Amino acid sequence: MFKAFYISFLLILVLFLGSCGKKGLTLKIGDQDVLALGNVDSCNFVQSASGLRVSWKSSTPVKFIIGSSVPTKYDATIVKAATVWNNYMNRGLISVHRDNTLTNSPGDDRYNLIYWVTDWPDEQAMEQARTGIRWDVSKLRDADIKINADNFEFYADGETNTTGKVSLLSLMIHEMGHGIGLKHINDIVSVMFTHLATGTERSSPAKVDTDSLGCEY
Amino acid sequence: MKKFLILFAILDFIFVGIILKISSEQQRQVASVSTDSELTEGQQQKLELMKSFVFNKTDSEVVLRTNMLQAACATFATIELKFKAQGLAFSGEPPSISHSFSCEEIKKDNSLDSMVTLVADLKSLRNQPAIKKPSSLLRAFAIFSDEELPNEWRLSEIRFGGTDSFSVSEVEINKVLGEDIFKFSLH
Repeated sequence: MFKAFYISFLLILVLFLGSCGKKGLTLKIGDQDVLALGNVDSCNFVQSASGLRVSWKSSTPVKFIIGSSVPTKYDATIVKAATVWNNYMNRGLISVHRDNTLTNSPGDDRYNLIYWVTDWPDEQAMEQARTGIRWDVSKLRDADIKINADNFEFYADGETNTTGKVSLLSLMIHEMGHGIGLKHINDIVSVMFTHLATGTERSSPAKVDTDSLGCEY
Repeated sequence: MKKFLILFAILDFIFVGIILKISSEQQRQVASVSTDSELTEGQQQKLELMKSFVFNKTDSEVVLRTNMLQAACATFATIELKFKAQGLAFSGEPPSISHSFSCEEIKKDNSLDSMVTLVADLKSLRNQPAIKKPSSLLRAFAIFSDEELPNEWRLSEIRFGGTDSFSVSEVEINKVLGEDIFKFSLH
């Protein structure tokens, strides 16, 4: 009887009690935080209405799909963006592959598609790209990346003609950061800094980036 | 062996108890005090104001009613309602809408006890960044004409603006009034 009592209590601890410190104290069901006890450090992650950080939790690698709209000459650059995150985090956090058969529109379809958009709304012409994420409670279920090819030109990794063009590698590292839950980080060294000037490379995640990701992955 | 198991179980209870106590002590604000008598006068007033809120959503409007509206407008210049979309974000920012009411206009009708936001206005913010009304201003953030308008929303913050401004935050609303009290669907 005592053994059963003890084991059941231990299970409650393992299943429902998250972790303290930087991660904040949370109650868990499976791999998902469902309740925050006290303040949870955002760690530069998007937070749910309950203050929980939203991420893919244990569902990694996050699979991004290069859609048919994206010119194939950019595939290697997009794959490299994922590799940069994986190398800095020392784990397989993001995977990328092309699938020309998917013709889905951006939306809540559980396919994390990358789109090359040539008809961008005029009122948002200054946006280089936009990543939409959707989640349940605190676990992401969908992420779509739209690249504004209507108002910007891009250069692939290794390309020498960069004048007036945006580094696609830097941009994709940034957008994939959003895709795994990060917000903008107001620090010029961060790959999640809001603005990326043309001809500028920002392709090495800074300590603030990896420290932030370390809270969830 | 049995003694050890009992000891472990007791230690577990103590461990969880300590953690729960620490977590509840981290925010000794309006939202986390256990009794009203622990509050300062300012916190007491804020709590009374929060408890006076009555939220209602119909097909055509979102209404926040409080019998303290006129009293609040005697002190503050504006009252801003912030609505936040639930469960999605664009480039790290959840879509949100701010509806700011002029207290000068509210005071013109001293029987007025509610702030009304039309659903039609909320929906039309998908195609325009702001709507100027005679007594209020609506502004949209991270809402895009080429994305679906989010369906699930929540009144997430109430900001009283003026010389001594203060706001009722999402955390305070959740903890004092409950997490679901200000939720609504747009479609």
